Amino acid sequence: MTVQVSQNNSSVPFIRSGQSLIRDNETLLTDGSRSIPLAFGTVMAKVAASQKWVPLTSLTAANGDAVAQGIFIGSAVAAADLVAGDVVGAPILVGGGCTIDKDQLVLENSLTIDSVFSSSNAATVYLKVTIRDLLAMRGIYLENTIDIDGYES
Amino acid sequence: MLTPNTVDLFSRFMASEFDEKDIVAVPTAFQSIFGKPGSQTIFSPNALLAEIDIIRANERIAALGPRGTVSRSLGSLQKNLNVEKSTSFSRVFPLSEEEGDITGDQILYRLAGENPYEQKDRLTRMRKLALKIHLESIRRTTRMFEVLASQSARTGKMDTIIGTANTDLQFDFKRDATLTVTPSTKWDVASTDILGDIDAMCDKIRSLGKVKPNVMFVGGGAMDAIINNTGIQTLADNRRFELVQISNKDSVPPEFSRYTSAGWNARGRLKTPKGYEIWLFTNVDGYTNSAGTFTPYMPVNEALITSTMARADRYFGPSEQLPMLAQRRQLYSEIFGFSPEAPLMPAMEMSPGGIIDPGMFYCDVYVAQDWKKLTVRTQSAPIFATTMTDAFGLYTGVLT
Repeated sequence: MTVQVSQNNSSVPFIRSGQSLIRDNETLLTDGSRSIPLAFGTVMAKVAASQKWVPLTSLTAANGDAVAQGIFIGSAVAAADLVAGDVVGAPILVGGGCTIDKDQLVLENSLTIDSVFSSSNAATVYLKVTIRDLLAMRGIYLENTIDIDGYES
Repeated sequence: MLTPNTVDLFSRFMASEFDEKDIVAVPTAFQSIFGKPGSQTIFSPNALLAEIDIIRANERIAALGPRGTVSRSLGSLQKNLNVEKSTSFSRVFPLSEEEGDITGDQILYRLAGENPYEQKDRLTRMRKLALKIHLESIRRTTRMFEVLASQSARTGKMDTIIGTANTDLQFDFKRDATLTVTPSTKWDVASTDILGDIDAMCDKIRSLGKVKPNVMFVGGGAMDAIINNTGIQTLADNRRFELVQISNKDSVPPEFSRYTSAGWNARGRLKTPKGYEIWLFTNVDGYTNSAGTFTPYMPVNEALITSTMARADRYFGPSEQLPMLAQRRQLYSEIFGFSPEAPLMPAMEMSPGGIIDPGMFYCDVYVAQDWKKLTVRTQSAPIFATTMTDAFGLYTGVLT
């Protein structure tokens, strides 16, 4: 029992300008060890073989899920639902040439938009880019925002 | 077994009673910080929850960008403005309840102040006792208001159970943690830079709370330290600077009149080196705590800095009893001689208009089914919210 409940409310738009392209019926890959909900605005990667989406948590995985490819823009998905199995019908922002509110972007596993992904073999680095750059390659640009207001401390 | 007393055959005179309860002034000093003009006092007799949306501000400036560009700048120069972030708070009203009983047996006895040969009837005695219980309930409840208002103003938190250690049973008005400071060099070390400390807190209130502080409520010991501080004494003695006037000779500006008439003593004016003009107030009132110790509402080793502009709301929630019916209203009126919706208030020597209102109290009586006992009950459900919460800054533990 508690005598006080507080909730942060936001009616600030996530996509701020430009043209946005959304895939609206994508599949989120099941994750048996998931313990937190998948939040709106989470940067997503895609497993190459199955074309199922996973939250970007590593920049070194080898099966495609180390590359930022889109942003989850649906209502939060409970951890239990992802533990139970694949979740279908997920909307993913995949590009188009739009700007989005940087402050509302969610990155899991302590990654930041400046974390570096690099594609290489033993001898050569083919690609070395930040998550910000990977999203920009998709036509998703992060826009700096300033809140006229902030949440209570 | 009762034994009749023998009475000596002297003639006697009986003075009117002295009831110390009646001369205890009801405290309203800290309550005067809440519900003042610009703040809100809300009576909510039917809703269990008080809710408020809080939007915080900042004082950023607009960006400058290059002319002749039709594209949107993504760099740090241009920022897209968000204006609709807010925090929604829901708070469950607390409930205070005071009860006093009168029994059929009790009203056979002479009341204090009653002439033994006056032949007062039982109904008159019952009314007098009921009124005493009622007035003392209001006084106790008002003292409880003052304790809660003091805690809320000083700490930014308010207990729903007095003295609780459970944060789930506390309202947290989310004051910034840096606004509560224990000075490393105590104020009663004569050479301490107290003015520097006050300036530092004023700066924080100005930047976090967005208002210019102009008032400091000071505990007794802290005030003594200020008076005896060598730096302040030097400035006070140097008439050419006129930074410090620890005196009440200046007429107190009208924005502080609510405080002085509520029991704060105007002690002087400080003009700090940075340019804040702070009026100092002390208060000597207190209450008896659960251990039986007299406890000042303003702790002796604390100093609270705020602004007369700070919004601090009061919410008064519902009672916890069945709705008043005509039958019960009639019973109440018969016992007290006034309506439960407009109960008699005790003497409030230190209460300017509007601080205490009969609408804050729910008064009723209920009677035992065997018609041998009557209970006078007073309920109240107050929340003292420091709505503009970062406009309050506290120095605590300022004495060695």
